[in-house]
Amino acid sequence: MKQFGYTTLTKKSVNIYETDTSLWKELSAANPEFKGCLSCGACTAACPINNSGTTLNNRRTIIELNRGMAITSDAANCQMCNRCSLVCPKGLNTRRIFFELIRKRTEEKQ
Amino acid sequence: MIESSQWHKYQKEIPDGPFFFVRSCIRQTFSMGAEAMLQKILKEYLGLKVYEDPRHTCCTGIAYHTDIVPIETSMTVIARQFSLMNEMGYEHLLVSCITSFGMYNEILALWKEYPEKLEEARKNLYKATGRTFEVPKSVIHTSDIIYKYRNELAAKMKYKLVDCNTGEPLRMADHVGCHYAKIFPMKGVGGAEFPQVLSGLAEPWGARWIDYTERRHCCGFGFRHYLLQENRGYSITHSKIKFESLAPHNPDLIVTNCPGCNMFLDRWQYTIAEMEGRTYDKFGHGIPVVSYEELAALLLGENPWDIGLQMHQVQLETLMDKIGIPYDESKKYLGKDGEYIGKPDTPEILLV
Amino acid sequence: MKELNDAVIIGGGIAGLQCANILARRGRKVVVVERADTIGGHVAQWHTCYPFGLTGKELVDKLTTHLELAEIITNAEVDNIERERDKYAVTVNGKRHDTRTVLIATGYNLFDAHIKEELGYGVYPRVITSVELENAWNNNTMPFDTSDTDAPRFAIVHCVGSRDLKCNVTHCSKVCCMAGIKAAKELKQHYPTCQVTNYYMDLRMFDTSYEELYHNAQTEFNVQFVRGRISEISLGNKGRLKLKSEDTLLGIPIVDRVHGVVLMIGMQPPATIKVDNEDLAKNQNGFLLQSDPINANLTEHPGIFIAGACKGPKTITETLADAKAVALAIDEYVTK
Repeated sequence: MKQFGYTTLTKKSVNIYETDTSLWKELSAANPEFKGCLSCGACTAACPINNSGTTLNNRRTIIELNRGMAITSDAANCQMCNRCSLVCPKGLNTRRIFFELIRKRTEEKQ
Repeated sequence: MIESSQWHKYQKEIPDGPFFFVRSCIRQTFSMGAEAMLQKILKEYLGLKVYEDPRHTCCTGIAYHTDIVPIETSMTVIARQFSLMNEMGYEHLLVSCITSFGMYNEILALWKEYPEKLEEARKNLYKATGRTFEVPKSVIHTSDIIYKYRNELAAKMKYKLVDCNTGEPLRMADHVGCHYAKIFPMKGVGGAEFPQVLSGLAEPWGARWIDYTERRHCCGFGFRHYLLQENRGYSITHSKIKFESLAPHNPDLIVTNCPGCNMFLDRWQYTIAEMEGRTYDKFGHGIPVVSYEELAALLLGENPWDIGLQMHQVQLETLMDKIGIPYDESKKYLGKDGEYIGKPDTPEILLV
Repeated sequence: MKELNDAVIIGGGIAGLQCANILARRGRKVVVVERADTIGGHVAQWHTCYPFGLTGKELVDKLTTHLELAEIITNAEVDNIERERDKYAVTVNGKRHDTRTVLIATGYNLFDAHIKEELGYGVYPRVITSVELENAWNNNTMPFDTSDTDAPRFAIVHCVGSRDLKCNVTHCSKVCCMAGIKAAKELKQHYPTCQVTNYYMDLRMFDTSYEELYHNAQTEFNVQFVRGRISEISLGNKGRLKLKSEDTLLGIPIVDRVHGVVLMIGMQPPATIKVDNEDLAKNQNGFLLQSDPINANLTEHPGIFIAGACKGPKTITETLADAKAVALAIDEYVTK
């Protein structure tokens, strides 16, 4: 391999036709309400943890799951305070998305 | 071929000449022989009147696009080309380079939109050289001419773009230079999104044209991308995106109409091979990249080494073997007068 | 004396028919002038009309109960409209019709999807318009060939020829958000294993039951919604199409590969109508201008009325209501 002083860059775009959406299918089958999310972001705006500098983001997590993309939120940061669900205009149990992710990870560890 | 009613509105009028020919800096530097071959095709095979003035210069395109010269300089230089053309009694400008083609059209559009800029150019040219000028009747790219006479050329061709062993048409991908029709879609055959100027050559010349996802993507010749080493990663990435999109279609060749695209799609295959250890064909030879006039000359039966095909990074022997074009390996590295001009080093990954 | 009509209605779409039907029922002498060879306009070719679920034909039939009392001229060209004191002379196919009032109900033209070149309409057969999708359902044919896969993917592209300054269109065509979701559900019904993605800029679910349609598409039909405009449709492997966009809610550029694309084409202003050789006034979007803020059907010319989608994009429900309103206005005008 030769060094040229520059390298090829990695593509940023995601091919959403080949992502793995099995987790979304599983979670949305158990919690069909997640499918009705309008992506308004009220949950994220209400979240004290998001507001204290973490990447925790309910709205983003639901979309990432739906598209089968890598999840950028660390579910373990969620304090389960439920402020997100209080402000959801569709009455979704938005906290549950992190609860499910944590449970999923715990199951995988066992 | 694309079948659609809409794209037919992008059929530009291509005159029969006589033409005032202006060269391409990049083509002369990297594809020696190509422009001489082009003139031979136009003059000898098609019988067109093409005049090349030894006094004509670079169009300033590269310097203009990299902000090295101001537009006033470009306007004056281009005005001088027009003045030479007027002096020799020609009305149709025939441009060999896509960057120049874009430049001439851009400057003409600018003058049309802002007549005071035209006056400024007249004044500057007169001050500098004592010359006056009139704008050309038409600006034509040389690939337009080849496209126009594709059937006439096909009739004269000794070879077809057909696999001589299987009888299958070769798979031809095209890449049209961005400054050909993306700046002014009406100036290109088939417009900006679905250009036909090269894909239209496939059928009469025996090949099967293949469409691919990144057909309209830049080749990597963005001036600001390759000139600085820091930015060169963008340039090579563009080429890589194109190759990755092309590879699943197994193209036998890529045809280009831009000297820069021709060079970058060709040379970057070597660089990517050295960087990442991969090539984009099955056997490690790379995908041959030829310009329309090199391809035409090859199929017309011209000597491949006279066309300058040995100057390509991706060697064209595989393509010539497929078509069944004979070539003399011993004469590959002989110069014009038969003297040995030296053989380049052999790369490690890309097979030559 | 020449026969004097109460109203000449230009345009035999649902607005014209609704108005003609009401006026005919009330004993008015009406002439309906239609450019095409059949009446019903665009709506007649819709397979199903949301929210009532009628086919376009059924809906048109409901508007023609009293039309045997009216004169209907199809394949008609209006050559001229001229004012003569308190009446108008409308020349249709060279024949003169005198009338007290004229109703312009010329509807809209469909956006020509060829103009959005980057979307490849007319180049890739797998790119179709919303109208072609309705026609496919009407003809009982499947719009896309999916024989090479068990799990096809489809994309529905919103705002083609709407809110697009490059195409000289600033307005929103209003109905395509709803129609796009309806199309997604229909695709899902016809191809049960498919995945449909709607690419939208905004989803404008303004009418009653539209929001429910959206919710239903998300939860029952698993339709995916991506907020982002398609920048390019190009050919992928095996004849499939690649779509580039940005998922703007995530800020990530995405590439989709689909078996078929439906372009939701927008509504364009209709052809110009001249009265006394002068164009009728137009609003900023090129549709006909209503001259009065209260009476939605008036123009600057007394006796010339406008109704329906020639005033701007309208749903079927709105068009029918507008046409009913204009029938009342014409009836009052003629009585006076």
